[in-house]
Amino acid sequence: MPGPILYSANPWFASHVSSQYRAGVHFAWVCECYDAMGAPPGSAAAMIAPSSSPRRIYETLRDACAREEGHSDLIRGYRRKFKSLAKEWWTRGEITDEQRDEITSSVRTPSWLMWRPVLYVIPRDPIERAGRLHHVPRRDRAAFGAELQIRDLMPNEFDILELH
Amino acid sequence: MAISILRDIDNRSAVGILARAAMSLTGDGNPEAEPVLAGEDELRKRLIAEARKLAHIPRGDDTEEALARIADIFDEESDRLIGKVDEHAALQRMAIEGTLPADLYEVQVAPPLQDFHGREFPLERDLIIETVRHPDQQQHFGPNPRPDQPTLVSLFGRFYRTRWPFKDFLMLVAGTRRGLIFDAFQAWRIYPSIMPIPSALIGDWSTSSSRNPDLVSLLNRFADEYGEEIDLDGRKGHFFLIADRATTRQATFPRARAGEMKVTNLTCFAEGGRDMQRDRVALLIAIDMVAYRGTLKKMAVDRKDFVDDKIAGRESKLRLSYPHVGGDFV
Repeated sequence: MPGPILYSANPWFASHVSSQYRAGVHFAWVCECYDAMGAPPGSAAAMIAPSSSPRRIYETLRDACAREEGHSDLIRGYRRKFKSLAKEWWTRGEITDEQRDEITSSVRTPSWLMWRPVLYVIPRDPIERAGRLHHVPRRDRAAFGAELQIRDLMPNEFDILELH
Repeated sequence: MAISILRDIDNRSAVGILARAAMSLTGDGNPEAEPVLAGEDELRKRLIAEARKLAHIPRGDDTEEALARIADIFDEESDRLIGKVDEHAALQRMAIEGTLPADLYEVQVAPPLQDFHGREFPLERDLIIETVRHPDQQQHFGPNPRPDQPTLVSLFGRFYRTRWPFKDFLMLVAGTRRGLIFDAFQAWRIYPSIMPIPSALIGDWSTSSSRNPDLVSLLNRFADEYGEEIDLDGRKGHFFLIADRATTRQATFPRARAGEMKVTNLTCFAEGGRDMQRDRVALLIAIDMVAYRGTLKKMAVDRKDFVDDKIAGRESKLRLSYPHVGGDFV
């Protein structure tokens, strides 16, 4: 049975971009459990790929930032993604030249603080009842386990935690 | 290296095609990667084929490294189409708005802090820099807030653990922003074992929800504990969010006894605020520094007591620019 909470681990910058440049609309790749690796063998949660586990993502980001790991594949991937997103939003006229430059320039800085992990904790029910919980097709999932997306998550629908 | 397929497409559309193609390569199902133009699917295939040729990546090599290299080629090409970006100006704008990641600020510590801490200053300096660069909580006032709020002022908070929970403390740093420089004018240790902090004020610091932190109220609470009442042109108190600079020069201590040492700490607006506000000071607090020094001595936290390796290390690895002789002290 699915739990009442959905989890999503992201770099702080993702939340910042959503707040500053996307009118608070967050895109979130979410999971029904925080720690897929710790799920009982045979359970649905245990079939979620480690690379999609919020806990794994959170810890990978946290360790990379703590060690200031310049070769972190995860952070490199986020840098690429946000550069592309900024350009795509700009071509659609959704952000200005200045906003595009702010996002792409931020990504090129040596900041580690912007890649520190944050955890979105999202009550599932209101999102699901509104038909806004998208099941990701198998071809886009890392493993058989269920993976979900929310494409229009608003700030008043979830909490953002930083685990110190 | 120019991608020939895009030659007949206007720059803006080409940037979009390249951005979506780059995102499609990561295969993470991002809806932003969906083609939007007629024939874009086919165009994307040709783009990828041309990028493979340019980067000498054989067909069928779909390793993460190969796909990342192709995405980088698309990114470089879209950068070329957009033209030169003034990155410094972009970061300056973010600094003014208070949205720049805090670890990009150059931290300068005001001389009065150095004077107060004396030979203990190197540890305090490292704590200040670490608090600004890696805060648990931060609060920023932008360039054009309401008239009753400060401008270009930032506060940073960080919790430090020691070998004795009794000696754990919150470091609260306040100062002004001028471009990419943060001038730290105030830095206070708040020991919850001595000065309990209502959780409503800062939330759960260990798992902080970092939205809308109210560090100003925390500073106010600190001033309640260590404050010395002053009279500012008829306004009595020990904490003033903003005040006229002129009135601070005539501040009096209504309760002071002869010979008693009183120290007033003031911070001012950084340049860049509206001209009419340059005559105002922000986060004015009147603190009994003797009492505060007494707390520091009682707790006697030494560098080796810190759990944080960076602080406890023999040599500080933190960068610092000081002494700072600029700024605006009252």
